[in-house]
Amino acid sequence: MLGMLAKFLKILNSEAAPGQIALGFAMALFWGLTPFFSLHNLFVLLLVCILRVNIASFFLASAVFALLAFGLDPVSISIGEALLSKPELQSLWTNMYQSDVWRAFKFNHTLLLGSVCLAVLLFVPVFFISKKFVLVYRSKIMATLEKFRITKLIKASKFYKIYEKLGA
Amino acid sequence: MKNYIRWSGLGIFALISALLAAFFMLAAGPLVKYAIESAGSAAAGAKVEVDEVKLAFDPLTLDIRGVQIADKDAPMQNLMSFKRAVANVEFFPLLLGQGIMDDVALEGVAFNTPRKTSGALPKAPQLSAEEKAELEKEKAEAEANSFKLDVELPSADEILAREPLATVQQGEAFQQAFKSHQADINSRLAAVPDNNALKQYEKELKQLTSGKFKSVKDFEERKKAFEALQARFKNDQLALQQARDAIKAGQQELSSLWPLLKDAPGQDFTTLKNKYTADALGAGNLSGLLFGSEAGYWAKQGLYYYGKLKPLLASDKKELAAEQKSKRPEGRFVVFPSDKPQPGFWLKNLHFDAALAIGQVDVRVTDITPDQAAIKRATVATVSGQNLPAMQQLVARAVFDHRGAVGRDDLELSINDWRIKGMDLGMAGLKMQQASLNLRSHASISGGELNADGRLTVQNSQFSTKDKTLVAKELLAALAQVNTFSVDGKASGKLGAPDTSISSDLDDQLNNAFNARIKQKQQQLEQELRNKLNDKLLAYAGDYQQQVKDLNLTEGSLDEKGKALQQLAKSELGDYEKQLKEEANAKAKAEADKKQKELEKKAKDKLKKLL
Repeated sequence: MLGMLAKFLKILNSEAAPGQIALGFAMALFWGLTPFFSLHNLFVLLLVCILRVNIASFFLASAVFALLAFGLDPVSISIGEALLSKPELQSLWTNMYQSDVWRAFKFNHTLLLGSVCLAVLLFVPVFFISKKFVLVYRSKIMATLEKFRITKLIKASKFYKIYEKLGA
Repeated sequence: MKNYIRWSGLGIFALISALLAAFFMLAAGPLVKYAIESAGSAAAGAKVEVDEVKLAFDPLTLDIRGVQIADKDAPMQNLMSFKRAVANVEFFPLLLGQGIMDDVALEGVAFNTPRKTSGALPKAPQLSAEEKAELEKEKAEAEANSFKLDVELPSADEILAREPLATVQQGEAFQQAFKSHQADINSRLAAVPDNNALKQYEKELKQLTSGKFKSVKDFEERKKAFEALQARFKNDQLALQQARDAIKAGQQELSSLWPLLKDAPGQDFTTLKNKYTADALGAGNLSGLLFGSEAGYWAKQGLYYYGKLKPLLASDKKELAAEQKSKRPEGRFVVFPSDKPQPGFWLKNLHFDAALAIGQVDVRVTDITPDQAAIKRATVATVSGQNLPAMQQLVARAVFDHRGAVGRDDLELSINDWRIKGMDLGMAGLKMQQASLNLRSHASISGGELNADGRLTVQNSQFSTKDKTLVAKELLAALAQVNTFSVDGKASGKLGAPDTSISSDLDDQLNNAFNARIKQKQQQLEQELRNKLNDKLLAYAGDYQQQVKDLNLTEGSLDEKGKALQQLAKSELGDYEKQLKEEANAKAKAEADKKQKELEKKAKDKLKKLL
């Protein structure tokens, strides 16, 4: 847990662009919230590789969102159920079901569809909120924290040694 | 654009993809092996072991070798094993985690082969007391509902143990009455004087009534004692009367109960005879006796293998719903209308040759899938054999249809010219030495209910018996006249315990011989019942007569005592005045006699002097 927090602080304190870090967080929604062994996650990985996304923030956030997914799974399932049973969308789903490609994406699985939709919905808010957070952290919180006596105590602690090990 | 794209990442992705592909190629075999072993073990309830799984590409083929499926009821034996299975797997659905195979051919299939190591799965964690109790209950219910087609006469002891008997009821009533009267009589008899007391009375009475009164005082003392003795006589006579009454009451009640007890064994015997004559044989007909055990054996075998197969078949929608309810929600696949159904697992065609006890048979199974609703087809299995050593043709066709909410399994079995030799029949040591059988049967199972019927036609039959009894000889003689007959069997009701019936046109031909056999058995049973009921009667009233005799003797001795007491009571004490008067009279008489004698003497003397 300490290691994870240290990694998080390392990312925040690094010179990586806030947009790249925020994009890593946002894209991690797909890996974290949706079932891992799904074809769309391969495309997410491709995007993470070829776009200038902060990979460390992507993996870290993926782990965090995977933990959150335990609580969010029922919400995702109900979203998926609602969408797949919506009468207006039946013809769309039926047409997609005829295609092997779409089936390969398991679009007709309630948890998968629901969690992908949840990830899409949260993508933009998470991107902007996390970008704002990185900016605010770097401009205000980091400088303020440095002044606190407690920061000096922390620097002398085991936690800081882990942080140091990570090369901060 | 350059700021957003990291072209080097493409290489990283290609590298990751290549690593994944390499891992897939290397690990696919062991992964499939693990999947088959773990899923198979869970379904079979025993170890499923695979020697090796090889994956080949172009076309994608799974080569599975050395599969052993252990029998959970006999862990040192394989339920089924095969040397090799080659399956063509569709690649694209495999990416979705769907195992769709067009054709699978099994080689070296064998059943019930011995194992070197136990095929039992590791023991489940310790059950709680409640779970154990529940398990025991289920086991007991399963045993109670287990398929029974045994046709046996109950023994006399079994009948007597299971039936409420009048002999027992009357015997208990008799014993209770006897005990209560005996206690009453004993308490009354305790108040009656015994022989010693009577002798003492006689002695005291003699003392009082013999000898002369010495004085008035003596007379009064004796009178007082005599009156006290008379009062005791009266009390004793009253006690005697009460004892007599108690004995009489006991005799009356026991005499009224005795005929009921005496008749009870007869009543019981009649009731039991009526009850056990008609349905003692269960199946109630000869064909049931002759072919019941054989039909029961095959039915048991069929249900045994159905039980083994059932967990591997598609489940009813109701069962699936119940199963899903208990798990953490994992989502589900929503199926839409399609010409290309793709369930999670679908083996389109399975084919193998199996070496069975009856010979080499060809087995074909189509559309094996746990999700028949997706493919909209039922699983169909066909077993066929031509020119087998013991039969001309065997065709069995099973349809496992679980597309609807309640599944339905149908089985049709047809055998032509089944040449049997030395088949043991159910009675009189009979054996069907040889015959040609033709069988047509159909069974369906839906919602746990079985409906089955079949007809067995027997031709060119020859029988023998090792029994030397008259019945066996008569049956054999009657059977020698029979060349062709048919046996019809039916079973319906709950799968574990269906109602069964077996009938045959053979019954009419052998009815007389069979009736004689029944009568003989029944007579044995009746005699045994009679003996047992008499034993019961004796157990309740064995020494009754002696006890009544004792009561009569007691009554007789009481009568004698009563007479003696009466005699004693009649005794009287003399009058003192009367005694004085008598004494005065005697004295006057004596003096008169003395004077008379003196006068006579004087007269005699004077007469002598004169002469």
